[in-house]
Amino acid sequence: MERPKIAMVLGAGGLRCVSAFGALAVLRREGIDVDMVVACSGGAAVGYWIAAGGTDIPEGIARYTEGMAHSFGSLGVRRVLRALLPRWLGYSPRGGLMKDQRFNRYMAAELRGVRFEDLQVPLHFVAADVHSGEQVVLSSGPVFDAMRATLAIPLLLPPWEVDGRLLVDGGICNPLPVDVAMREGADIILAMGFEDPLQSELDSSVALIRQVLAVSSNHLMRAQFAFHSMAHHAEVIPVIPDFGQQVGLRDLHLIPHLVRQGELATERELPYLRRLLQAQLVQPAEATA
Amino acid sequence: MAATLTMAATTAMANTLPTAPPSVSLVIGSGSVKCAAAIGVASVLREAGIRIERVVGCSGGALFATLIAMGHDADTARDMTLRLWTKDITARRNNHALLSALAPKLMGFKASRFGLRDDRHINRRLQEAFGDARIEDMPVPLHITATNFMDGELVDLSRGPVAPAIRASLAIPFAFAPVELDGQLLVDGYVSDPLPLSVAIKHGARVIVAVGFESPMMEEIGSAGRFAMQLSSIMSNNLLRARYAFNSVAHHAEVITIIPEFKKRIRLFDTDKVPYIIEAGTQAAREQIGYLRRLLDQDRAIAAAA
Repeated sequence: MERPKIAMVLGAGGLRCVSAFGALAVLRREGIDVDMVVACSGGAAVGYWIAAGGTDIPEGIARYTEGMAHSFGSLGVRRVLRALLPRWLGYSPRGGLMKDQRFNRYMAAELRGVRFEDLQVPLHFVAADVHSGEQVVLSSGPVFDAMRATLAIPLLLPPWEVDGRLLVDGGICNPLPVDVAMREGADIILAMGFEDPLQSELDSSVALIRQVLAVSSNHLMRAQFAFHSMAHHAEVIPVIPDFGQQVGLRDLHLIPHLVRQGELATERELPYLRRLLQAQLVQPAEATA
Repeated sequence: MAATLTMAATTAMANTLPTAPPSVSLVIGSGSVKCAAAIGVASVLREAGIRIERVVGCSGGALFATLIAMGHDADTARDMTLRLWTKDITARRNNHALLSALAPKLMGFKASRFGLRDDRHINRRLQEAFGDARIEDMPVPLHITATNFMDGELVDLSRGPVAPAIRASLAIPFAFAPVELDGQLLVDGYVSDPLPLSVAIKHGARVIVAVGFESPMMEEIGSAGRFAMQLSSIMSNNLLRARYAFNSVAHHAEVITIIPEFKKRIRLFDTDKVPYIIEAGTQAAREQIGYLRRLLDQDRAIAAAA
């Protein structure tokens, strides 16, 4: 009797992705193992931690917090000027508005020598090719390059080159990549997705940009999710935490709250997940009888 | 007795059905001036005796949906396009907007007025072309889609004055200011759905002819603005595909997609290429018309048999 293959899909969502630790805590309590992780953007760091066989959840959260504290440098003056005056200073799509040297050094040190092939649980990161717009699934080679690519928040962090392709955050083409888990043969998919909160006041051009991005990516996530849930046979359980407030990338003090909400959202889906696991365990036995 | 009456009614219906002209709903997606291809598509449908029972337009498609809903033939629609869509309509920059973006507090930033291009000219042109014409008075039922900027949802404009509705549907964020209509702040329809098949489906369409476009990928990304445009194209192409896939799986309407092929590159203001674009739409529609005819005949045979 074969156990159903369980995938955890962690969607784009910046700091909110830390709530995946809450989900993981619930699964651990229930003795449910994750057989595969697919992550995009902010979900990548948690995804890696799970795939590397992390066991101590509080320690995992502490490391995640430390990583986030390193991740965002200040705005680079020269970078901002380049974006504003492309003709004079020479613009390159390889640039971003933020300095990323410190972040790169920190991550490279953390992930030195780690390859996807060495991980305990199969891991897939989703990025997007800046030039062709295609989705790129990264499942082999050095984890550092793949993680840096999927974390490249458009315009803020510079894109990252992997195998000759310039890649950015996969959120722009597939913010909750359940289809990758389906393709990899998952039977049950826990899909942790985050809608971008809408702005309550449109009082600056930054608020305007955020609103356009939020509206587009929410539509994209819903449309893709609707299609994949309908067209495929895998069971998809959406886990959508409700944080009740805006969460910025620097709101590290909110992490305990975010984790707790992830835990609660997963607990809400637990009765269904349990039923599903039982049914899937019984079915093959009946078939052979 | 009642049964006989029902029988008689059914027979009467079966007799009248095949004589009613076959009809389709036409959905025109966003794609700026390329949407002019829909004029060619509409003329091929007309030639083939296929009635357009409803037309839905988004962004650039809203303009051509309106011209088709008004019942203009291809030549008139082309001439109106050439008069309306000229380079000078967006040539002027909106300097106040630029300043308000840099110093929002000082200059009093207002989302409802923010657009980097001066839109007075385009508003005047739309007013000249359509005057006080109303959506609900069109000979062919017309729907123009926009996006509610506060809650992000698709808005189906099916009544009210047509000029501001087209303007709202065309309100590319940052380039043109949003439009306030009936207390809603509206932006370009492509933000919520670049090819709004759902509007036709919601109104009971059985056969849909969809004219849609993917945003082209840039060969050269020479500025942060172009980088942002590239990102927005990637997102909206993915949204287009996901929505299309969902609607195809979830609904029973038949969707025939017409994607004109352009050998020449077409930029936003290449209005001199409008005749070429219309011709490309005509060609693309001719390739599909045989299949469409068979589909419609089949549909009517089934309806008649029932």
